[in-house]
Amino acid sequence: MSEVLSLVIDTIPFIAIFATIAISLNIEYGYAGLPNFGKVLPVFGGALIAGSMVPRMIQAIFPDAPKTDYIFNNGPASVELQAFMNTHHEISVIMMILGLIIAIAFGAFLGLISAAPALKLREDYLAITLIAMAEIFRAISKNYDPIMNGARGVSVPDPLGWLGPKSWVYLYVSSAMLIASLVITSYMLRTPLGRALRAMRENEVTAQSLGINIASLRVKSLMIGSAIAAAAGYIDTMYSGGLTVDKYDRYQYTFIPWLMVLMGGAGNNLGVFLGVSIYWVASRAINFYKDQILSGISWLVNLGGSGIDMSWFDVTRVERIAFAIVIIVILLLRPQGILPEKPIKTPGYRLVEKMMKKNRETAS
Amino acid sequence: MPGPGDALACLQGFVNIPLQQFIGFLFYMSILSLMGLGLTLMYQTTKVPNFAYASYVGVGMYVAFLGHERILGIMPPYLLAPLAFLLGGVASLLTYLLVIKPLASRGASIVQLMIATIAVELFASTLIYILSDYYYYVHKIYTVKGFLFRSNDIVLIPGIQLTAAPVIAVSLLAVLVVALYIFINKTRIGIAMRASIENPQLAEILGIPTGRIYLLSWFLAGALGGLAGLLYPMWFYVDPSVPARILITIFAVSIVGGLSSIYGPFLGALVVAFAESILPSQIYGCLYSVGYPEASEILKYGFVFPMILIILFIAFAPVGLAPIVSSALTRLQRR
Repeated sequence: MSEVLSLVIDTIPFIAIFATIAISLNIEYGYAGLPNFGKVLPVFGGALIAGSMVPRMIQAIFPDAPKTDYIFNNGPASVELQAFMNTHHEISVIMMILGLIIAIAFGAFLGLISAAPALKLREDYLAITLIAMAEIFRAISKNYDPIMNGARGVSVPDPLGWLGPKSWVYLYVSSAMLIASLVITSYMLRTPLGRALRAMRENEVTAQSLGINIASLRVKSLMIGSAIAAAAGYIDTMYSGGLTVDKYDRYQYTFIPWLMVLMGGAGNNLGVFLGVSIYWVASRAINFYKDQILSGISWLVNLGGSGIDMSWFDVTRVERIAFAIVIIVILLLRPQGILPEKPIKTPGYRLVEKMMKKNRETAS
Repeated sequence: MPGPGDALACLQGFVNIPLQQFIGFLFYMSILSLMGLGLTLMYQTTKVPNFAYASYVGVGMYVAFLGHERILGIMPPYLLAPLAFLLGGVASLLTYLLVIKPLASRGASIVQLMIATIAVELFASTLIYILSDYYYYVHKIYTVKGFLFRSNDIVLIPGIQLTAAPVIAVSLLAVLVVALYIFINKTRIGIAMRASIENPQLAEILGIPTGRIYLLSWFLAGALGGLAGLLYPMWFYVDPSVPARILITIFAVSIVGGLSSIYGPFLGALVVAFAESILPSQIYGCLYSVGYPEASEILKYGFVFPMILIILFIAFAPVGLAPIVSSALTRLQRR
């Protein structure tokens, strides 16, 4: 029983963090049709606020906080800060929330500047710009040591460490974040803004002819999406307790959210949730059945009876190959995803539905 | 306070380019031209930026490696150029036939096509990692995780350490420019290719087999990448992560030159190679001469310069250099 429980406790923060990132991508791609291939940028931005800014803010603001250099003497500094947070509860909670607000604002800012150069151009230019922005940001963080001690990274003290076991605390924190972002996005998408986003996705020219400002709509959706993604990155780093550039790479924080959105169904938050769950189960299954997969592969290789030893094979690489194939197969066979997008039931839509029903009745 | 003497010292520091570095610049510019030309050609035919392009370069890099380990020994891998050309082209053709064409015929959007090419990149780069694992753990060839064949190269002029790689790359570039000009303007296939890029429907009405022309374009584009990949380790260090890393540099070449022009990549490669391999050290030289030795920090950021160029060009001149230069040239001619 306790094994099952610990599995659930491990699962929920992961699913909540990735579902939040995938929902933010769903706003950008699913609703607005924008190719955000730089999703890792706002996630990493939020992570930087958590891992690089909040601890130093505490050091700077509170005179009795330990003053050991947080970046270049990170080991002792993060232990001392953790002890300080464990004894100063109000300060830690306030700084955690303040940091989250800063992360959200920083994410929105990153969305704004990364979209700015390509606002009026075709989607492909926007995609290239976003990739380049993310890589510039990561390259500078990796090479300029005062940000996060370069490629070595930093270990991050947890402001909520005194509340109880970490996985329980973050189970609640990350679920709250997921629910908040779900509520905000589903509310937002029922307003005229949501319908304008879909109109832009379906046909930019038609949308423009109806007086919709494409450039400002692109900025808005990228700012909202990036703000939510930054919150996810912030919580992610606080939870994992460490920050390195290599963790926030193109694969895990751009490609995987894309896989989740395309698999579950773009434009449908429930579908995205499904996509996240499928990814999690699949990736855990590959990890769990490592040995079986390896023996399967060596059986396949040795079908001709050649007797090749496959023990060198790194099964974790199977995950990437499998997900790359899955994405292409989904795009080919079910581009709308497992749960396709549903029409929004606005009052006008209900009226049309009713009238059509009536028409059918009178006809029969 | 900086004075006029400082400006002079800075200028001297700036223009002082060591010969070896300049040779490296020429080499880098040449192979970037090959790769940028391939990427631009693909973009023009299918209107999709191919994020898997660096994989074909990776194919070339590992043809060089395997050739070195298995066939040629200490001889430089130039003899394998036809193989790298062929395999790069085949990898590219497979991408087109198995992914791009089926998706496009099902009416996939440009964003869906782009994410599909990202998936192909992931697939191919993982295969390269698996290959490198195999040689590392089974054959105990540890250089597979990092190799450089500069010392295996033929030395042409010992005095200035001129090796064959830059000479071959620059002559390849020159041949390519001439061949491309003749191909595009004088041959029937080249003209058909231009027509199917300009207006595929109209070209088909005129009886041009655009499908086959696209196949040819993708093969040539990937083959150029394979060739560039074969030359790459003759001057630069290669490990399995290099293809993914140089992808953005290749995009910089195409964007700076202009995605709409077939001659754009040559201009783009000139600018990008200068910005990455010459500019940082010269800025450092300038700042060092006026007394800022700590400016050596900038040397770490060479590879960021092409990415910044992408942003600048997309923001201020998304058409790229080629149309700007050609309109400036026609204005000069009219005078």
